[in-house]
Amino acid sequence: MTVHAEKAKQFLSDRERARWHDETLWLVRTKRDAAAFLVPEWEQLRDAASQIKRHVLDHLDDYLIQFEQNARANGVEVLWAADAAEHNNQVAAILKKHGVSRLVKSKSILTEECRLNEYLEHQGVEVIDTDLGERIIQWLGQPPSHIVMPAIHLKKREIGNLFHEKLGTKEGAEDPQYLTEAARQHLREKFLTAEAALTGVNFGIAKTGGFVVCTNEGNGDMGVHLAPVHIASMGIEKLIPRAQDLAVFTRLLARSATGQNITTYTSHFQKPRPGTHMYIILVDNGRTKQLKSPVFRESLKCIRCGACMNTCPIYRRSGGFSYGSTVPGPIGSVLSPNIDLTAYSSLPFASTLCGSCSDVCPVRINIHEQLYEWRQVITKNVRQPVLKRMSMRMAGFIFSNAWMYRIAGWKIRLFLRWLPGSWSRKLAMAWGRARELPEVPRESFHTWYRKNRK
Amino acid sequence: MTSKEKILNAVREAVGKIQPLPSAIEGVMPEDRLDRYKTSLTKAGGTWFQAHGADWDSTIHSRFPGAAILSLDSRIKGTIEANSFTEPHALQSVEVCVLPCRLAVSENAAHWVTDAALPHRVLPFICQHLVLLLDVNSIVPTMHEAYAQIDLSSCGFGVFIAGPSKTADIEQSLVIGAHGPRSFTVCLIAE
Repeated sequence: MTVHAEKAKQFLSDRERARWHDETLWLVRTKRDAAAFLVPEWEQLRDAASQIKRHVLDHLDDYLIQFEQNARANGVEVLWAADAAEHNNQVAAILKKHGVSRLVKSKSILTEECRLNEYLEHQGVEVIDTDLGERIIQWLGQPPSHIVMPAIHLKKREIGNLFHEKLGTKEGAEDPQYLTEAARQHLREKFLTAEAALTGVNFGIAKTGGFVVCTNEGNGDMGVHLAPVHIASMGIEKLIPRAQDLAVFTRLLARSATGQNITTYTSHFQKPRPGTHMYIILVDNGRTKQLKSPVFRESLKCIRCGACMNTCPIYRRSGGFSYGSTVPGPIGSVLSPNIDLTAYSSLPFASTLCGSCSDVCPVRINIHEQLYEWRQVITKNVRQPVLKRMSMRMAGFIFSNAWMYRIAGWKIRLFLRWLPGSWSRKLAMAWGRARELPEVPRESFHTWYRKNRK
Repeated sequence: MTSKEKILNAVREAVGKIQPLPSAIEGVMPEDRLDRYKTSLTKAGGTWFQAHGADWDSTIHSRFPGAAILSLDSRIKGTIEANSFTEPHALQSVEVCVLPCRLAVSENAAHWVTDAALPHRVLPFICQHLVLLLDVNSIVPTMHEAYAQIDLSSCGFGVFIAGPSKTADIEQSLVIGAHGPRSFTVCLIAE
C-alpha cells in the first residue's frame, strides 16, 4: 500500500470521525459557493488573477528587483534565501542581532515548510504561534492539517482538555467562546511582551515595495505593531505588480478560503514604525525549480486559499496528515513532488482526477491535470509497486491487440460469472472493500453491436 | 555568488517574458450600494446605526457606559486623551476607540484606516471595541474603486478592517472577539 493509502486507512478506521471531518470541510466548500455566486464577475476575476500571476511569473526577475529596490527605499531591509536552511539562519541572525529571545508568529505556511519553529527552539528562542489554531497544534506538537484551518481535525472536547492543562480553564469545558477568551488573555500577554514578531506575506507589491498580510483574528497586527522588530517571510512567487491588482486578489482570497467576503484585517505594510526595524526575507527553496518546468510552473500561481482541500473528496475523507507534506491536499500533491519526488510519490495518485479542485481554484491552476502530469514523471523515475507494474504491463499488452482484448474480455466475464460475489470482491482488493462489483454482462459490447446495429 | 544572484539567475533561465498583464476589471454592483454595505457589515459581525449629528455622541456613550473612550474624531467626546499614550503598549487600557473613516467598500464592508490618523498603529487592534464614523457617500461599490482612491505610498501602514476580530478555529464555531476588538460599530452619517 502506498504511503497515503496507509495513512488514509488509519484515518478512516474511525468512521464517525471521518464522516464528521468530511461534512465539516464540505460545509466550508458550500460557504465558498454562496459567497462566489454573489459576485457576478467571479469568473472574470479568476481569469484576471490567473493572467496577472502568469505575467508576474514570466517576468519574475524584473519584479523581484523592482520590489527589493522599492522596499529598501521605504526603509525595509531585504534578504534573499536560496533554501530553507538559509532562511532559518537569517531569521536567527536577525533575532540575535536584536537580542530577541521571545518571538510571536502569525500564520506562515512558508515557515512550516522551512521548519523554522524547530530550528529557533534549538537556538534557545521561545516561539509563540499566535493564530489560535496554530497555538493549539503547537501545544499538541502537531503540524497543521489544513493551511487555513490548522486545527480542523480536532474536536472542541480535545481542545478543552488541552486548555485545561495549559491555561487552567475549567475541566470538561468545551464552549468555544469560553476557550477563545482564555486564549485571548493568554496571548495578549505574549503580544505585550514580545521582542520580535514574524509574519508571512500574502501579497508583495513590486511597484510600492510594500506587502499585505490577511488575518481574521488580528494576531498578525497585535504582534507587529507592538514589537520593535518585524520579520516578514515571503516566497518569491507571492509578488504582484501594482497596488490596484490587490483588488482582484482580495476579492478572491477570503471567498475561496472560508466564504467570507474579505478577511477581517487586510494589512498593508509600507514602512517600519519610526524607531523600529522591518525585514523581508525572499525565499526560493525549490520555487525556481518549479518555475523552470513549463507544465508545473502553473502551480506557483497558488495564493494558499485552501479551497482545493475543502472540495477534494480524498482530502475530506483522509485528512491533512495522510499526505505527510507541509501543504496537503490537491495543491500540496502538485507542489510536494517538486521538493522530494520519492518521498511524495504517492500523493499525485491519491486522487480520482475528478477536477473539483480546478473548478474552485481562484487562480485557475489546472490542478487535476498537473496531478496527471506528475504521475507520468513519477512512474518514469520512482519504482512503482510490483503489482501495479505488472498489471499495467499486462493491460498494455492486452489493449494493444484487438483479438487479445476480446479473448481476455470473454474469459474474465466467464470467470466472474462463475466466481461467488465475496470472492470477486476480495480479488478486487482495495476496490472491493466498500463496493459491489457491477453485474457481469452476458456479452461484450462488440458482440451486441454486431447483432443489433450492423 | 550571493543567494540573490543565485535566485535571479535561476529565474532568468526560466522566464520567457511573453505573458501580458490583463486589462483592468470593473467591479459590478447590481444592488443598492448602501443596502449591500449593511448586509456585508452584518455578515461580518459588525453593527451600524444611523442618527442625527446631535445624537452621535450620546448614542456611542450610551452603548459603552462608563468606558474608557479614546476618540480621534472631533465629533465624539472621549473620556481619555490621545497624547497621554507615549508607548503603544499603554493603549491596552483603551476600551473603546472612535475613529473617522473616509473610505469603505460595499461588497465586503471593508473600512480603510491608515497610520496617518493614528497615534500608534496598534490602536484599532488593541482596543476592546472599535467604533467608526462613516459618511455614506464614502462607500464605494467594490475593491477596484477602493484601490483607485488609495495612495499606498503616502502612508507607512494602512489596513482594511471588516468587522470585529473573529475565529472559527475551534470546531468551526464562529467566535466574535479573537485577539482584536470584540465589537465593531459604524455610525453612518447621511447628512
